[in-house]
Amino acid sequence: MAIVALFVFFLLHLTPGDPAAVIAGDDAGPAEIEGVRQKLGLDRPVYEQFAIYVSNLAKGDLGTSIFSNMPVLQLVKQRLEPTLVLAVTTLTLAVLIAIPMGVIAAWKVRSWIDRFIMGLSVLGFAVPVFVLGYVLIYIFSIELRWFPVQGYKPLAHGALDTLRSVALPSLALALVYTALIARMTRASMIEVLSEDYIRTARAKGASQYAVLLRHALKNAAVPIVTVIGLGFTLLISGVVITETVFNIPGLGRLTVDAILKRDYPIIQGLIILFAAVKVLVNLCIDISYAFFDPRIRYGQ
Amino acid sequence: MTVPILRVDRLSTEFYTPIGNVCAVNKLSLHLQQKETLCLVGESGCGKSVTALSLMRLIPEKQGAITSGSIHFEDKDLAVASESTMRRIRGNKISMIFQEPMTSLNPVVTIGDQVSESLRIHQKLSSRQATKIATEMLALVRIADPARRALEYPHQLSGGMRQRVMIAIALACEPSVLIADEPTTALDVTIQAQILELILELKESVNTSVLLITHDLGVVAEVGQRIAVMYAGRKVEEGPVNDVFHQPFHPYTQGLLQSIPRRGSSNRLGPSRGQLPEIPGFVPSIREASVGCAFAARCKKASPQCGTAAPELMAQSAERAVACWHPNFD
Amino acid sequence: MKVFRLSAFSQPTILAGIIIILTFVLTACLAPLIAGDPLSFDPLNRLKKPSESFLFGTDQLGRDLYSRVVYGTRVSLIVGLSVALIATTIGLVLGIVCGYLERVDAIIMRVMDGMMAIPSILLAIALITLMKASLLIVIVAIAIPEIPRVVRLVRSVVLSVKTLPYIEAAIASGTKTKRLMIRHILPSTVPPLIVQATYVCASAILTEAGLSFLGAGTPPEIPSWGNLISGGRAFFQISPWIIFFPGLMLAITVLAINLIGDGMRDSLDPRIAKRL
Repeated sequence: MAIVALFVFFLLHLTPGDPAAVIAGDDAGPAEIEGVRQKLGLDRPVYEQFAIYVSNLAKGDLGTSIFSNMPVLQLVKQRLEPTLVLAVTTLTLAVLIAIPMGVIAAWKVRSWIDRFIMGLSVLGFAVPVFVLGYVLIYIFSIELRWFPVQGYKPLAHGALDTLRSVALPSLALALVYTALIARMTRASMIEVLSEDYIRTARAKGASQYAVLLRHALKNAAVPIVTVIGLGFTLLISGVVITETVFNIPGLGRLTVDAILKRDYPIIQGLIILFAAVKVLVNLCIDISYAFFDPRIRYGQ
Repeated sequence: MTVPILRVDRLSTEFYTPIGNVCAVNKLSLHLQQKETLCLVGESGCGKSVTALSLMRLIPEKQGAITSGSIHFEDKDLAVASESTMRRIRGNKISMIFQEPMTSLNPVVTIGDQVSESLRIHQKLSSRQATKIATEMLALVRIADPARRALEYPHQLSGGMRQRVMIAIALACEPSVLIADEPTTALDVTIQAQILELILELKESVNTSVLLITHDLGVVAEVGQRIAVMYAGRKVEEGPVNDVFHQPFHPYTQGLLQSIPRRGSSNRLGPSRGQLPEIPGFVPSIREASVGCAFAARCKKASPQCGTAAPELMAQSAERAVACWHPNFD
Repeated sequence: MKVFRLSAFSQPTILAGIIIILTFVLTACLAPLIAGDPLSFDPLNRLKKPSESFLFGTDQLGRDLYSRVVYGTRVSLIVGLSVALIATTIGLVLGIVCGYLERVDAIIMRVMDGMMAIPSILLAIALITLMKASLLIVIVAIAIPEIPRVVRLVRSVVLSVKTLPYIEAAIASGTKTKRLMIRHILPSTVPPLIVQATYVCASAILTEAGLSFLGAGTPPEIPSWGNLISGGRAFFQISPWIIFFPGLMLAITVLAINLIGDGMRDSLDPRIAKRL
């Protein structure tokens, strides 16, 4: 996290030339540049700036946007809900689809079902999110009119509408994630299914269902959960694009707009936010290891 | 002779390999009487474990299958029974324990749950009832403080204790037959003795018949009542343990008994001091299908006849049989 | 490098992948010969459906979509290859250094972890906006987020190879560090590195498309598939082909590269290779 903070801070100062000039834009006059400099505190020595920055962070103050003059934190709060709903829906969808697919593929390994599922996952890695997004829009919004073409309906207006507006974007976003998880599930399950204790379970007369789910899956869980955590960063990248395609006013769009407008406080604040979320996610994943594998719980 | 609990009739099992099917078990016949301990003996690769897996129909479909013969148990033929019938039998009427206690237990399920699982599957007990019986089973296999251990995980137990747990799992539903595939091979010698003793005791109290698979003749001497010797997928000799040990008919059995290290130079059949007698040559790979007796290449008594026709099993008395053209009768 | 079994390359999936990529490479090279002018616009022919004269139709300025897609092939392939080259080279150097020198390792890996915490697209965009937009900057900006993964891979190979007896033997017989690194450790890193390079290439092509789509990538004068898709957004409901054709090309290209990478990876894994 410290590295991220440092990086984010120096992002501004890494630019060739005068940071204030870069922010002010190509056609700003010297007076404007000076104004920007003062506003951002760039006229003070570097270490002082960093100290101020860090202390602000500790207070929860992520700075103020240059262009809209609103505190970054407030901007984030405004845009948080759509992104959160999108992310949660995507994650749920991906996990619910991918894990059964992976389990079935492992069970019927090398059969046509297995090859089919693996083929789907290879495709999943190839189709870019935005292309898929438009394809889905074309089929489901324009031709079939099942879902709205764009936009987002806030939860306050009714959950069903929200889900409808989030359905297509989640589907598009979930594809890569699903492929990733399905692959890992299959690989992990295949390894587990060749273990001795699976044979013991069968020798007890356990049904195929019990063997797969009760005995195998729990053992296969750790790598699967790991890959869910790793894919999270991919998810964030995808959110940015998906929100653009489907015109959803979320954090992703905020980030892109900020970057294009060079609104550095927002950029810095958002990067720190994303990094913090990633750390949190990793922590949850680590905790879940202990839940799945008692050997980790008791220390081996 | 009373009706055997388990009767195997000319069972053959083949495996699928890239170069064709290989026969791992070749027309094997066995019978297991009630409350007896039959030891199935042979070197690694002779097909003993495959036999056990075949009896339980645990050979994965893609790897191989029973190609002929029958397995008579409780008026059913297990060789052709449906999978659901087999599931009702496994862990319930016929149980098996395996060689590797370290890897045969599920690392993420508690000991108690693993023992009570077969109870819940076959006897449809509630989880509380099953847990109670599971704890009793753990006490039966002499695990100290069974109630606490039942909540622990396999990695918290030693190898010997894990094998006891395997026995508890196998005997939980009081099966008629227990197949033990090299149960003590992976354990220390001192623990070996305890486990064997335990198996014998439980055989009496649970009223189970035991098919013990091993390559260790010492184990056979300890616990075996009858012995069947296998070589290259075939049975070559069978009979009561004492009789076979004192007077082995088949050259292979003779060779096995001779190569047990003995103190002093009292071994009248081998060199008087220094060298350990051995059977020359190697166990043939099952990929090489053989015409004639599979042991012929290593046998001192081999004759042209041995190379052309495989000897059938011939009964020498009510209890003994041997498959050899030149059995040793002195 | 006998690690890649030659028989592996006759597997249908790899073969398909290679053929597809070669087709694309040929298309890119022969672009002037097989396609018209991607830049000339003809407002009279705006938004025409795909037809005989315009194979893929025309875009909102009347430009021939087919030509633009063909020229776009160049951009994607160049970006993909360049990024793969840059990322693997730098990653290789850093990885070997990390694996070999423990003190430097701790610092570099911390930095790599920090980089991996930032979503790659955002990192790339941020880097691009720091400089003036050009294809070169785009390539560099895409390459940088790909480096940490390569470093990790190389480092883990180096760490596992370092403990092998033959390395100890080489050290014991007085091999100098530099020679050790090059002659003994480097060869083990190459096969997985090549596999990773294909994945980096595929990822780079997707990232470039994404960036261009957002408007932060390849400059709009140069026709890249991402740019084409971005341009077609406003007209999507009436002229979906502007988005579909470049999108299709993207998917096929990335798919082909992934197939090649998967095939090579499978041939490296001894368990799978035995069956090939």
